[in-house]
Amino acid sequence: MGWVLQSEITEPTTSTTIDIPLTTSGAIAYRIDGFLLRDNVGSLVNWVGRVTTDGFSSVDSSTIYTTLSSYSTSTEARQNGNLTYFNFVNDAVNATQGIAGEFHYIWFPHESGLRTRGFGICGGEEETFYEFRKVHWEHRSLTAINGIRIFMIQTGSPPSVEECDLKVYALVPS
Amino acid sequence: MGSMTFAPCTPGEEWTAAACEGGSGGSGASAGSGSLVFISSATGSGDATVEMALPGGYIAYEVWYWTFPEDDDRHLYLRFSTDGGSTFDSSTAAYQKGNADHIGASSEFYQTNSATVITQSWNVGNLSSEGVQGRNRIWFPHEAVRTRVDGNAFNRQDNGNAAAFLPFGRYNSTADVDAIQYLWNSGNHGDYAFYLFGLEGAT
Repeated sequence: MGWVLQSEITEPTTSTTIDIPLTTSGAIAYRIDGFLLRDNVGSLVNWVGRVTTDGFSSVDSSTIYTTLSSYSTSTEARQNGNLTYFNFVNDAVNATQGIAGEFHYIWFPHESGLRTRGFGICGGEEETFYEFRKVHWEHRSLTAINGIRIFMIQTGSPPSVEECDLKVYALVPS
Repeated sequence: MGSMTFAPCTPGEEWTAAACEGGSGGSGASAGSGSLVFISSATGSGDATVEMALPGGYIAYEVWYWTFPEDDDRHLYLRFSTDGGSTFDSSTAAYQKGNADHIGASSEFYQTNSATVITQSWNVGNLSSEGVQGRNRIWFPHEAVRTRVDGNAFNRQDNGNAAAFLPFGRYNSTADVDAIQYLWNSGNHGDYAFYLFGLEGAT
């Protein structure tokens, strides 16, 4: 079947979170296309994520995520280990420009006995330039997952999700 | 190109340019083109190589995989065949390869113009918490041009480092590539699963 559109998400789950179920039968991987916008409140944020293994009854907030990230505008490479989230779109996004999270992939989330790993190249509009960010992340558990929760982190109250339009595709080998 | 559209493919529907990007779409694709079609899979354990045929009728291919080396600290290699998988080219300077890698908090780039393999990932650990997951795209292997490949992989190395790789390379021959082979620099695959998809061209 190849890529199958599983769902389109155009409304945040709450004012500050977006839940992305990964529930296509037989899928080996997922691809998330689309864009996210935040409201114009406060300063810079990171878009980050956590995984769920029980359909969002809970999300794993233990220190179990590792993210590798690098940037088109810098030679810097980062490793953020032992955090309670992974960096879905890493580093600050300025208040009004939002980001286009293009092509985020999740490898083998339903394969128990494997760590779920993800990869994304995401473009971010800053005030004076366009930057893309490459991230790889890992959930250091061998438990299969069935969803991802995206949210923002910021000192104080996080801004709200103003707009989202995400397409979730499942890769089905049949 | 026309403007990109996000409609009107519906949930559960197979992605095709015709169904999901408005027929001829922004790229001028005809009905049926642009689809990624499942071809074959290879799963197992304890094999020295994983080999997959590239049937005709597709313009490019994607391989999605996870694999563990049976032995610790191994490098994952890719090779091509032009005789249906009877042999895989390991001659000197058969390939050009490179990589943009990100290991821990450092990154580096390299290119080698004369290689016997296209390296996908290296120093891969063999524990259940390690291994490698990745994807390769193989471009125009059936055309009379040099077959090129890129990829993306994430592994845990034998020393526990998280490591991301963006490998790329080419086959220095313009012969029709009709099979691929994944192997470690030595030793067998432990548990593995490889899934091959083909990208349909204009029909």
